[in-house]
Amino acid sequence: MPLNIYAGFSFVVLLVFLHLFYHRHAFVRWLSGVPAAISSISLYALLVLLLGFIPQKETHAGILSITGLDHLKTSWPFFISQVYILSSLGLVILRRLNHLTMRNVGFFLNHAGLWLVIASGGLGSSDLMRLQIELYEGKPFTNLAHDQVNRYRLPFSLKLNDFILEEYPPRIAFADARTFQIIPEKNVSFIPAEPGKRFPFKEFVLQVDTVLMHALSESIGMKAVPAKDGVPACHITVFRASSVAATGWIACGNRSMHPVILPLNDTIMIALLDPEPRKYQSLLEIINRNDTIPAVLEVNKPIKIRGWQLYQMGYDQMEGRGSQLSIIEAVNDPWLPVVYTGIFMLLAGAVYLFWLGQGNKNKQKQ
Amino acid sequence: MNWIDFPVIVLITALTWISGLITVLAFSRKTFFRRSGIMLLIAGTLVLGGFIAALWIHLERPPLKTMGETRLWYSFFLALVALAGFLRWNYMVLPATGIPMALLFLLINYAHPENYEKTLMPALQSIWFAPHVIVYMLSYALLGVSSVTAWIGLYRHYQSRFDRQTLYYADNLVYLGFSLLTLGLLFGALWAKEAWGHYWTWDPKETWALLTWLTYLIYIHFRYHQPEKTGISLRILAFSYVILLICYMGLKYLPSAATSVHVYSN
Repeated sequence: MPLNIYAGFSFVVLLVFLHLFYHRHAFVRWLSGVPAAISSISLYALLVLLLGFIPQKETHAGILSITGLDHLKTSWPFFISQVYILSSLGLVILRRLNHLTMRNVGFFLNHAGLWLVIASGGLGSSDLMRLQIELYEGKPFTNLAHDQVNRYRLPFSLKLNDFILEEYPPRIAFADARTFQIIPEKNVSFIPAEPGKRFPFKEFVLQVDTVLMHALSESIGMKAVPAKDGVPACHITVFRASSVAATGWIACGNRSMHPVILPLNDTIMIALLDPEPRKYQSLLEIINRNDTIPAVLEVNKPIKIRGWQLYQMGYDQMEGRGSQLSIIEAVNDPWLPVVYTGIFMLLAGAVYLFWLGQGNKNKQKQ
Repeated sequence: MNWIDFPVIVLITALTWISGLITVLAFSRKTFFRRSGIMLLIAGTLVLGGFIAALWIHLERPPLKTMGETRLWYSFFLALVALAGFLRWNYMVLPATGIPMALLFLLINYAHPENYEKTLMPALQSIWFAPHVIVYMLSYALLGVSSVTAWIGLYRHYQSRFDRQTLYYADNLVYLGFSLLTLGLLFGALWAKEAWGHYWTWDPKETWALLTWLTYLIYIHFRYHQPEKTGISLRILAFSYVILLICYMGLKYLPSAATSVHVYSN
């Protein structure tokens, strides 16, 4: 039973009814006026201020829980405040509809746009589904997804063929050999490992000779290995004046090996910091109805299928580049078109305000 | 050009801004000296703008990731807004407040040098990245200049020599800044849907951005409703900037904001 649709529709009908038949009543005149607007926005702003300061972790005990302060978004004051804004905003829109001129277009876009966003965002939140799917490389197709409470079956199946993680070149830093704190030199804490790069440090100069993004150790040093295996490694030479103070390999660590560091002296060592991800993506196959289609899922590039949107959420960060796990989020938001309509009205209204805001203000100068 | 050249840029910009500002303030009539002062201010602003452009090219990504990088844009836009407002309205308060503000944030950057990094995490690799942050920084500059104008107005208000023109110029800047603030907030929502799966998750940064938006919204409505109550208007405007600053720079000091996804720098 779509209670939220019934509630929303009834609310709109109530506002229209009040506007049409009771617009001269003192209560309706006040609620559709600017003072009510200011007080409703202020009440909402006060609650948002509390949201901004108080950590929101519902504990079901203590004064913070009783007053709703630790779960503000689902508390009665918050709900009442939203109804207050929607009432005031709705009535002022209806009042202005009586004078539909070009000048009021901007007013209408801004106010009605905001009304749509607040109303549909609030009403739609109960229909919003955000589910998580854990896919492992090579495992069979699955359509099982879950949120924190329930498990669901999606109307399509997914299989992870490969999870790919590309990294930026790691950073080289000088560190204290006892505390492992990075020692900055003239506000420079590290340099990226790129062949030929030099890093002046006190009376030394570090030079990067070779960089291997995928390497494993051998008795003579590090050797390159196929992608997905190994660790980033780097051969460096440290000069003092024109003589060599130290030379050798440094490497990042992973689950099966410790990082390789190069000691410079008793107190200073040189290390390779863990690289940062540049890009990660899941190579998927999706069974939708009777078709099997390949797909690539990446951050900022969601896949839309059967009314759902799939997002690349995460992976096994302990494994890093070797992760066999890809965590995918499936989102279903049936009210999204309504929210987007409101958002685009607000965008247009903002542009209107930018170009013509001054014009309106000139009429109220001094 | 990279961070190692930054101290030189600070020096050139600071010297041209300070000398330009003093010249402009000292010569109120449109003489050669005042025009030179304006030229100096423009030159300093262009030097900073050129540095930002060069940094963009050098880093091979928009220089908008870390707090230090966005602060550069803030200094640049503050000076730009102060200059543009001054050339348009001939209102001395704007460069007198805007240029020192721009200088302040430039010096904060000088005192907190960062390691330049070409890296950009996957979540920030999006066409929304530059528009969202740039629109926000320009909006912050417009609102910042208008709010500091309000502080000056409050000071004069207490000395009973308040000038209504102050609020007129502040209003103009607020309308411009607020519309851009709205665009930035909505760009963020649209981007969040593409990157994180939902357009609004009450992340601390989003919550404080909404609060900033709401306080300026209250200002606009109060000015519309009671334009003669200038004292209250000035106070609302002055308070709004505090909220803006908390949203922009203060989140890392709030315990409730420790888990924000908007923390991008190391």
